[in-house]
Amino acid sequence: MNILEIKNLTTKLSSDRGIVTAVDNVNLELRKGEILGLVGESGCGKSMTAMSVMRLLPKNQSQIEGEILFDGKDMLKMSEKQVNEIRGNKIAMIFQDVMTSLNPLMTIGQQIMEPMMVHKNMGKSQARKEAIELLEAVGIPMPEKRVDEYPNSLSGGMRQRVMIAIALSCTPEILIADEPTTALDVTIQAQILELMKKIREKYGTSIIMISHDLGVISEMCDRAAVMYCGNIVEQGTIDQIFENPTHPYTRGLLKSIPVLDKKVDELYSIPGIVPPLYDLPSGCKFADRCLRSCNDCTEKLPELREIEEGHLVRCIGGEKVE
Amino acid sequence: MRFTSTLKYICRRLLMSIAVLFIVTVMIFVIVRLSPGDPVQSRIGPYGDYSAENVARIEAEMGLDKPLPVQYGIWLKDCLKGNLGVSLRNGASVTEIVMEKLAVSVELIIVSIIFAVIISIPLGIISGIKSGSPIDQIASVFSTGFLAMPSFCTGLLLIVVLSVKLNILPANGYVSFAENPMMNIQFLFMPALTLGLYLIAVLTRFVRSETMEVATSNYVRTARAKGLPSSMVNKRYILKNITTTLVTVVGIEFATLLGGTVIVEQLFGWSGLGWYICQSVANRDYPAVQGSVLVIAVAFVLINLLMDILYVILDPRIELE
Repeated sequence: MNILEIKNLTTKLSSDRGIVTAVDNVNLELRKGEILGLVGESGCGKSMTAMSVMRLLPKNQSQIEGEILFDGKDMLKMSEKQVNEIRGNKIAMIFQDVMTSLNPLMTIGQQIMEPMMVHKNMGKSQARKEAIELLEAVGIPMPEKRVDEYPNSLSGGMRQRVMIAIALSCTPEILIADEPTTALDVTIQAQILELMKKIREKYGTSIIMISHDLGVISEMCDRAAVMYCGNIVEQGTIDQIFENPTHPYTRGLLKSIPVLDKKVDELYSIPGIVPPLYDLPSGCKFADRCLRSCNDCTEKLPELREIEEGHLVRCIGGEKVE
Repeated sequence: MRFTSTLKYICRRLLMSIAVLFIVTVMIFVIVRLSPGDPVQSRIGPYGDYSAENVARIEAEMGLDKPLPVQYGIWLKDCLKGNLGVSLRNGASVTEIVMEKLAVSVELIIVSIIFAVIISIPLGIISGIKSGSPIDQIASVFSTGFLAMPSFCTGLLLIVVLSVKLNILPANGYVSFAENPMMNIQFLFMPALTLGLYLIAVLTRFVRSETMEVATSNYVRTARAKGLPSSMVNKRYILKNITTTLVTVVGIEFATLLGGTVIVEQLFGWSGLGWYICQSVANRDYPAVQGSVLVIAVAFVLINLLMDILYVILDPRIELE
């Protein structure tokens, strides 16, 4: 069953160079209880997709089209008030910038209590009790003491745990995690990922996991979508993506991961650079960097084609090409 | 733990303030001695007795015959006892006059600051959140205008409109609040508005830029992602985070205005401290100038100390070590 359906989502942002399309006609569905990965380089539109779903983009600088169906209702047609009833309550989000994402002038407890008091009409003492339990659940030692501390006395990993506690406070149906481990040490990364897996098991939360780290995606997700310049270029189950990568971009990404037992002098990198959003080529946006592009590639943006059950690729080559 | 370290911090800041004040007293003493003009001459007057004995007698009476360090020592000792000397002009206690004038100035400054804060905080926050909106543009035009306009200009305009044309307020004068509250407020209105308009301009611009910065911060994004209503986000996230810096700006403005309201006080005949210093300098009234400047310096240091303490209370990030 799909809990969230994103249909033809197009997000345009105004920038110094005019209006750019950061998310281009994205279709995605999130099933109940699954972890869906969104992969791609910086600026590929994965964060913008999440921000569009949460309606967190500044209104005067963005234009969002399409449909975002949550529980069958289109979030893009809702008033700010209706969206506020969903945000933090049914759909919660955690961010990459752990050091700056908490209010420095409020205690951790106050920040965890807020959503419960707003969305669940919970009293102060009850919310405080829940906050301590949440801190415990996300693995913060001495929660009774920590609850009254300010964010500046916590490390990055601890702050991300607090962010997760805030996100979980109203037991949301969907958790959107935007690069949740990127700013953290590798050892802490593993702990946070483990925590997120536990959350899914315990609460049945569906998770959208945004990352540029293919390791994180393969470790965590059931399905994944690869994005490039605002488009989804390949989508499928983790096995399909990692065992049978079909889009040249996905293959390039996978090839550039270092392998432990193979010694190489130079790591593979995809030739060329990501084109800027204000100057995108017509046709397939990856064509310039693609080793097997042909004239047809630059003429028209290829459609997503289903090459096997649930495995979609935006490439006219399509078949396995060695 | 934070409490004891806060106490320690306050004690340390207090000691530092005392050191600063000591240096200030030396500077005041030296500068007044270096300024041109002769206090004995101003005491005797143009037609008085300038015989050597009389001059020597008056010098001895005023303590001017002793070496400078001794004079400084005597002055400092008296100051610590709260005795700022007697005015050369009329023999009244400087302490009493300065305190009275200080109260008069503080009344004016506090009223204008309250007026300015009440208007500029909401205006600045709205302008910051909705930058580029009509409200923001109008606020921007007004604040640039009042920043650029010198206070005597604003003041004169007010006098012309409110006193001369409409005849609803007295142009200048001062009556103490205790004497006649209604009259006091009538006289207060225009000087307070003049200072207030300038302060609104300063504070609105400041609040606006701070708001714009805080509103795009990650923790405000978190607050919105939590589904908090915007009134809550504005109050607990934006306002709270601009308060610490706002306290500093208001404190500095307050301290600066203590001696900096000369023009407005002069214009409206509001006989506060700035007005008194002007008169005393013109009269070469050494003790009065020394006393007033010292009081302003002490007030300045105290306000700074108070702000530092407030800072620590308001912002848990401030390192106390």
